[in-house]
Amino acid sequence: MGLWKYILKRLIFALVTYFVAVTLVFFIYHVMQGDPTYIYSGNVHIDEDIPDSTRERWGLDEPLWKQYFIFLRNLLQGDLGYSFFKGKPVMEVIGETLPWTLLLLGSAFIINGILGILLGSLVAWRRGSKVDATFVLTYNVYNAFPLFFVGMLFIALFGYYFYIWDFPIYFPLLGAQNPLSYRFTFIQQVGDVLWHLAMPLTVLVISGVLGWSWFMRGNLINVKTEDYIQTARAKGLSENQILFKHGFRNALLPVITSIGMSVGGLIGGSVLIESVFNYPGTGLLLLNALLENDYNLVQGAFIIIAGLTLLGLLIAEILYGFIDPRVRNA
Amino acid sequence: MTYTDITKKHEKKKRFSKPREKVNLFITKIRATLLLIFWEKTGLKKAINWLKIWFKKVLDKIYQLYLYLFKINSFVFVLRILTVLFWLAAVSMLLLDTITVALPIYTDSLGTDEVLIKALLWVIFDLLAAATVLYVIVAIFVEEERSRLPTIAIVQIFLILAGLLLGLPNSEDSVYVGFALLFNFITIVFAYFSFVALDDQVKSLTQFRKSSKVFFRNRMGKIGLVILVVLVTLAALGPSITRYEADDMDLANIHEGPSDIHILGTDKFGHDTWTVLLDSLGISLLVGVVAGSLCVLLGTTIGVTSAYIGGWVDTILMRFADIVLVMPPLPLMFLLASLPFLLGTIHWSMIAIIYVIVFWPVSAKLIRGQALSLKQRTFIHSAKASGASNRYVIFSHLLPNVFPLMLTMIITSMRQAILYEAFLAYLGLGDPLNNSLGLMLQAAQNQFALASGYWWLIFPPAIAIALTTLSFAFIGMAFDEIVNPRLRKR
Amino acid sequence: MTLLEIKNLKTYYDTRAGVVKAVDDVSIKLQKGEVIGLAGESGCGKTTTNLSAMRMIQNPGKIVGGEILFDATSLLNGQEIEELEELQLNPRNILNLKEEQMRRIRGNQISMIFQGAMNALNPVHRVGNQVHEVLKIHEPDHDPAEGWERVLDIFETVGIDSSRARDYPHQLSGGMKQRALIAMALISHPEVVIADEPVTALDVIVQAQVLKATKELQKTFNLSMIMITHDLSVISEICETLAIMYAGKIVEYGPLRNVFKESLHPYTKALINAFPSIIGPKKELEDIGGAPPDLRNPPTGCRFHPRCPKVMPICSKKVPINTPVKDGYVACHLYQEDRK
Ligand SMILES: Nc1ncnc2c1ncn2[C@@H]1O[C@H](COP(=O)(O)OP(=O)(O)OP(=O)(O)O)[C@@H](O)[C@H]1O
Ligand code: SF4
Ligand SMILES: [Mg+2]
Repeated sequence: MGLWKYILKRLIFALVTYFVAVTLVFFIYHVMQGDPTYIYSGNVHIDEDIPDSTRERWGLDEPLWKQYFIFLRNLLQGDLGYSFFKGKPVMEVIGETLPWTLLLLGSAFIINGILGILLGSLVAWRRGSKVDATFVLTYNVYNAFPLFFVGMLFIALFGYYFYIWDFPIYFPLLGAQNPLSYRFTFIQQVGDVLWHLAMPLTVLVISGVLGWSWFMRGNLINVKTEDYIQTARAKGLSENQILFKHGFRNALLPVITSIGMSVGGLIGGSVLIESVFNYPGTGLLLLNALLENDYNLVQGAFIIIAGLTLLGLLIAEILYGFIDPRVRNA
Repeated sequence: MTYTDITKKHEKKKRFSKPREKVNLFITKIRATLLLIFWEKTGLKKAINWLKIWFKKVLDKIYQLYLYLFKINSFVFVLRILTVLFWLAAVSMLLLDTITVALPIYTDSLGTDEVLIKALLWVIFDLLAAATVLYVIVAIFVEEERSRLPTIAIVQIFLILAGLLLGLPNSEDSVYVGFALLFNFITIVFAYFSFVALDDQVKSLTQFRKSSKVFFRNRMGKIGLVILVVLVTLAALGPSITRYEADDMDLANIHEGPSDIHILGTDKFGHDTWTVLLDSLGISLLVGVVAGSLCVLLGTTIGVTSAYIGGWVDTILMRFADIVLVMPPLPLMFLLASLPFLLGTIHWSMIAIIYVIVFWPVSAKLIRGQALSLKQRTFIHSAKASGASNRYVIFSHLLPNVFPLMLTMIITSMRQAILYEAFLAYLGLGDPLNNSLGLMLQAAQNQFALASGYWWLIFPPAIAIALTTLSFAFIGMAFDEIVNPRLRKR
Repeated sequence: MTLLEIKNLKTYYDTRAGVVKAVDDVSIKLQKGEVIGLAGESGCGKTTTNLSAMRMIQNPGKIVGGEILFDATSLLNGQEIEELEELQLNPRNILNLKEEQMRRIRGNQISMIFQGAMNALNPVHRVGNQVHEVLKIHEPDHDPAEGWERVLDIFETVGIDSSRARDYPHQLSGGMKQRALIAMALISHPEVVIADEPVTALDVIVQAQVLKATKELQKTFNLSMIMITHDLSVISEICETLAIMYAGKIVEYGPLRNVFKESLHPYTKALINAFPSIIGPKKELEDIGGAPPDLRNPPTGCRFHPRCPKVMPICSKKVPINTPVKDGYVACHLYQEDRK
């Protein structure tokens, strides 16, 4: 049962990594700042404002190592502290933003994966053709611009200028929902969410698809020179059959391994996109919390985001185990 | 007649049906005429050919000069004298620093913890610097230690950077140690050239010439290099070629479009965009170069060590790399950037360091993979069997073979670092005191540049970033062909 | 009966550094049931010759001349043959076929066993499935269950336990992988099998086993084979005819015995001398002095002349033609009438 052992191993690794990440975040904030109440409130002067109950719950008067264990205990109970700027528990604040991030990330992830792999295979197999050359150029030029700049262009063009030019269709400048959407019917609400999602998602997806297909293309070009491709050709398979039966799966393996990385990159991208489009996701929350020195929120948001990345990585690794026979029956 | 000939005929027929053919003929004619007029008649062709030949000749001359110089003993002798002189200078600087700066801070500091910690760090730093300086003399005189010179050089670079971070540019007192390190770095370079086996030099040069041939065959590589050279020149000349200083404010012309007085217009404070652009380009390139190369240097050091030593060292290093690797990079950078943020403003060198901390595992893992496969190869086995020391094997077999990959990764890394600097600056976590391309974009966004039609505020920095990263990408792709011959088209 | 005839084949690689004339005017005739050995130094064009025979030369390579005659008309329908004849093309010359028609031949009537078994199997598919795939392509309407039976059968025939058919390549040993490749080449009962150094990557004992199996299979199926190898001992074990190749040309061709015992061409002699014989008396091994020629601009005249111990003035000026000798030919001025 090589597969189960493999999955277990990956699971343990993910948990350990997560633990280390959480510990790092805790100590970075607490050691660097010294005074726990300072961290807790983000402002020295409101030291007295911290209610006694909070003091007790977080052991703010205890030594650091004790605080750490208290912190871990609270984390296990799903309590990440209290955000003084928002006036709400951190968990609640994050809970409001997480669905939007998941919506953006999830849909981008799926579209990226499918379109990227298809496009990559296409251009690699037509290596040296005009399609390929165009692709190489597009990839390089698009990725040369920072992602947020593309977002800015999108907003200006499709959001602002389309609107003032009276185009039949235009897109919202910011947000994830119409503020009045609670008055809409369900169908209208879904439409509204999609309408708001369209632009940020497009920007993310273009760069994602290009990135994935670039990687897939590189892998396929390498696989094309492998011996088993020649064997397949000698069997009498057509080039397309070779691509799908013998090239594709082998080239896909490294792509799947790199999903882990791409999750991290995608999350980075979504942070940028969320801030450009003012999309109320966890990334934007993290950024704002940082700029407002809302430490508990920063810590909480980072812990959640790191968790998301690790989850993505874990899924990718398990998938890899299922696809690669060398892992499956090791 | 084979089948292929026939299909070709058919294809030709299909492809150029009558009207298409005419159009094609027309285009060809126009092209030919244009070429004749602009390319041959103007003598441009001749001039460029002549330049090419001349350029090649100069390169050959330099190469020959190099070979020649290393054959003359007197040159080596002079180099050795210089080495020793520079070393003495480095030592005296260090002594001066320790006596006049570091110790007094430490003994006098009854003040806050912060000052105390800083002073302590400073003394440790001094001691480290002293250790490397002293080691150089050992390396020069003990033959087996010479192969360590490059390592010390790398350590030196790190120390210089650490010095930068600890406030070298700000406090006048600490200038000594800066000079000490600089002199010592020069010492190392001289010592390397004058003491380490000359044969190796010649060998690596021919290798270099071979690789550069592959590089220059690639059109993209050439284009990238030209763009980069232009950009670097512009950035180096900076505001000295414009009419203004970067912080000049022309309050009479605010939000002006491009005109005679302001080539690329002005922003809401009357800053001249063209001047600010050149200034920013410099900082962005600097961040890219420093962060990118340091990141790969650190990664290579760790990767090679880990692959070579193996065992539990390898396991621990790679587990650690894995852990850093799976964290989402941008949020992690936020987190790190927010630390100095609390203490005060963030300097661009901080951003470089943050980049290194977040991205070293990428190169470490790649290099480790390469080094591991090299380790399996027979020539390393045979080198070990013939009694070579670990260090010798690493420096004379592993590193040279890892080097091309390292170069490719440095280029990629620089490109990425420039983008990440822009990201951080745009999100408000950059160095607010120095202009950078990301900061320009952020400022433009804050002035609603696109919606108000101030295109000159937003497109120049965006295009500058694009050109920079594009040139790095092209150069990287050309290097890739050197590393991975499978990518060559034929 | 001649099954496969390669006639004046020329295959060049058009590289940046110049045109590599990897195969230059090579002719081989393969009879039904015959095993031809093709030997020569590394890089002399053996693989290229055989890839050309299957029309599997990849860019930048190209077949620039010659004919490859193989009767594959049974795989073409009447209309296709008519089309070819209309264009006055010989339907038996497989260079005239379209790529799609050629695919029907590959793996079906001519199959190939590749050099380096380690990477010739796709790591992500089961071995049995990879063998079965041949049937799926060439007999699209066969019963899958029955096809799988045939796969298991052929596995037993080549000497792998049929239970291993459901394994992945990394679970098999090198010898087993090589046998699986042989199974793959044989399952569609091809008329011609080309084996490109089938045993080079294996250790001596496994080599012997695989060779023995190959020989038996050749006997039972009455296969016609072209066997490429550097290893003369392999050739002496299973070949009847031997062709010696040097720098893109065949320099000597004839029955195994003649070429081995009474070799005529100086290169053949040198090649045989350079090879240790285990059973025979101990003798001093001689290596062939000099390096193999650069095929981008091969030496003029006889391509062997810079290294030949018996070189004559004419050798560097005139290309020696194939001089018929006992059941074969040799290309060397020593045996030509007009030598001076
Ligand atoms: N794809 C290619 N591009 C350019 N040149 C090639 C290519 N493939 C082969 N060649 C050249 O063609 C010549 C013949 O190669 P080939 O593979 O046929 O040799 P071989 O006799 O099979 O050698 P070996 O015994 O080592 O397998 C060699 O000189 C080689 O350099
Ligand atoms: S033709 Fe001349 S050079 Fe060539 S093999 Fe014969 S004797 Fe030697
Ligand atoms: Mg070969």
